[in-house]
Amino acid sequence: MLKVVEPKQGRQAPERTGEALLRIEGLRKAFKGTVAVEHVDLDIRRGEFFTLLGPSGSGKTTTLRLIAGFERPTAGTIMLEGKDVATLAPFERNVNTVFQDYALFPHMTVAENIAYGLKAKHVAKEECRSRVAEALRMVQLSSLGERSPAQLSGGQRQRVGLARAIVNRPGLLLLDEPLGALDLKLRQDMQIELKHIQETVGITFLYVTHDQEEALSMSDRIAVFNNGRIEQVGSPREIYDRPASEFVARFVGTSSIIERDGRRLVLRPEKVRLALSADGFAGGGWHVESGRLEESVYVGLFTRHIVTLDGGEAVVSVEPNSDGSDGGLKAVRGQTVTVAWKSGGVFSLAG
Amino acid sequence: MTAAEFGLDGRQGGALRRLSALFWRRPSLALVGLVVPPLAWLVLIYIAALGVLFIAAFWSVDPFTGEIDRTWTLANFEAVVSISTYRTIVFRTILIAAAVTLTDAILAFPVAYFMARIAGRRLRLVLITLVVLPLWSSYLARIYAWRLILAHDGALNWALRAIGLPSLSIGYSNWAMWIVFSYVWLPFMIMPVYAALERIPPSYFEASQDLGARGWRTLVKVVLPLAMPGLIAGSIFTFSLTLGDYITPVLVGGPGSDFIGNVVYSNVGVANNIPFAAAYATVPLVMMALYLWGARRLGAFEVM
Repeated sequence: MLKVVEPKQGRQAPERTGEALLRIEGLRKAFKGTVAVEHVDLDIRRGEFFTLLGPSGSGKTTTLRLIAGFERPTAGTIMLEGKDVATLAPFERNVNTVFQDYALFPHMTVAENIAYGLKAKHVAKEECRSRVAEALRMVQLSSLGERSPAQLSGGQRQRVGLARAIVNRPGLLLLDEPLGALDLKLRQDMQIELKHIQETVGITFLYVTHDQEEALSMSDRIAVFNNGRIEQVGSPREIYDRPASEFVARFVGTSSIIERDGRRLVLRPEKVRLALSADGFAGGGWHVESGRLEESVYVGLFTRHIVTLDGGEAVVSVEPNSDGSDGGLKAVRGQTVTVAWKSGGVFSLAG
Repeated sequence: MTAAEFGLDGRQGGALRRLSALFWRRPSLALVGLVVPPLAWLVLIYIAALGVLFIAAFWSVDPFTGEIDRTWTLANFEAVVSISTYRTIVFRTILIAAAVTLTDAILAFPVAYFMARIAGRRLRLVLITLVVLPLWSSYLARIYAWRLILAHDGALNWALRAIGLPSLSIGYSNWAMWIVFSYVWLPFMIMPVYAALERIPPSYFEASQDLGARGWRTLVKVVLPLAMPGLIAGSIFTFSLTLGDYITPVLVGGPGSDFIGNVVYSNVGVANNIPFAAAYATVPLVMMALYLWGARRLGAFEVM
């Protein structure tokens, strides 16, 4: 049920001046002996869609909660619009949050939920009403303002959570795994819609997710978290094509890591080709090795092959199922196959 | 080896297993077995007794023989309404029950809030134990203890004299009843309020702050409405327990501090006028019904 949000006429395009809206330096948070976040430095630009990506327990959510003000940092500064907010209460910060569990107040209607922040700031009644209506329109729930949150579906609740935050026009919107509870199809629709809304309203989004595909498809830039630290910051393409560490290579996308000539190479499965003979790979910069086919798994869109190279390393290769009947590798389990990749398509890890 | 040798044959087993299987095939049978005994108890013993009580309220007692006269009459209810002593006793009972409920709500909320949201797991367990602990001792012993504290030469006045304040003469008065009732029923308010507060997800507090609300607004707009089912449940306990009590007025109340229960008690016993006792006993029932109806009208049960 994807509907495209038309950009508002006359609204200014998001400023992308490169100016830092949020600057975090030396951020550290320790809970009773365990360190959740350490040495975190971040610059987030105005109008950006910035994602904190990492496995659970990697410190991304703690970082978001520190920015929101739900936790106090052990050390470090959080400069928001030029002012250190690290010790301010959540209600003193120009930041709003979309919660993973939506956190809609069950005893209020959808419209009352959305108006909550405006009332807390004593916005005049008339303006309050029109802004709530506008927010409802933006998330396509105009007709549901008088419903109770319990009467809504998960996707609708998520939209209310988003509207309730955006209606306050915060400088920075924090989203804590907002699509985590939705099923795959709805999640994909909401990803596109979220991105549209972000471009329409021009608010800077700071998005937390453990889903690398979500991060790659939505973000302007991504910070990859591991063990409470940032492993790499970059655009989706930089993160995917030039991972700075083995962790990033393995966490973002699928990688096979092998050692050749003292260099650790990262092979992306879509860049590894398999064939019954090396004939097709003469010239054109192909690097050719041989191995034994261990497993072929048909997954609809593509077939995933796992091959053990003669050197003993396992390598994954995917092959699109473009032409059902005859295309594809005609090899059986245990058969020797040729494995090839272009040297331009692989990269070596530093260190 | 066959499946039967492993004991995997479903047809094995005794009567109990066959019964379970029967219940599994006929869930309605299981439901009947589960619900009928308690329902029978409730209807026969409880509701029927209330019905008999209500019917007896329309009877009267022959003043000469003391026999019950089973002709229908509204005389008992007329007496309850028209005789000012009985009216005063009803008002006193309701007023003190309301004051006790309000006092307990005000005292219980911060304690319950601390237990549910601030205390760590261990401290919470200690506090729950401390709240419930008085219920392990006799209710009479605790009221007697308060008698000793509030009496003219009791612990309260001794302490007041020790710090140079004038002594109070609140023993054997409505004040004493208010204090003692508020004390004995406090756990019945703390526990449901605690349960209600504990069920509020932490993210609601964060969302409220995040949207710009300070502590007071969060309390009034989010916490109190969501704690309301607990407060209502607690107030049903404190209000009805006070309404029906007749021991505390005897032990710590002064002269002329009778409750509805005392009148019922003396009419069942000394005066031997069970029909009038029955009529007077319907007053707290009606009061509770009105209270619940009012709470419902105010939407107190909607968040449940």
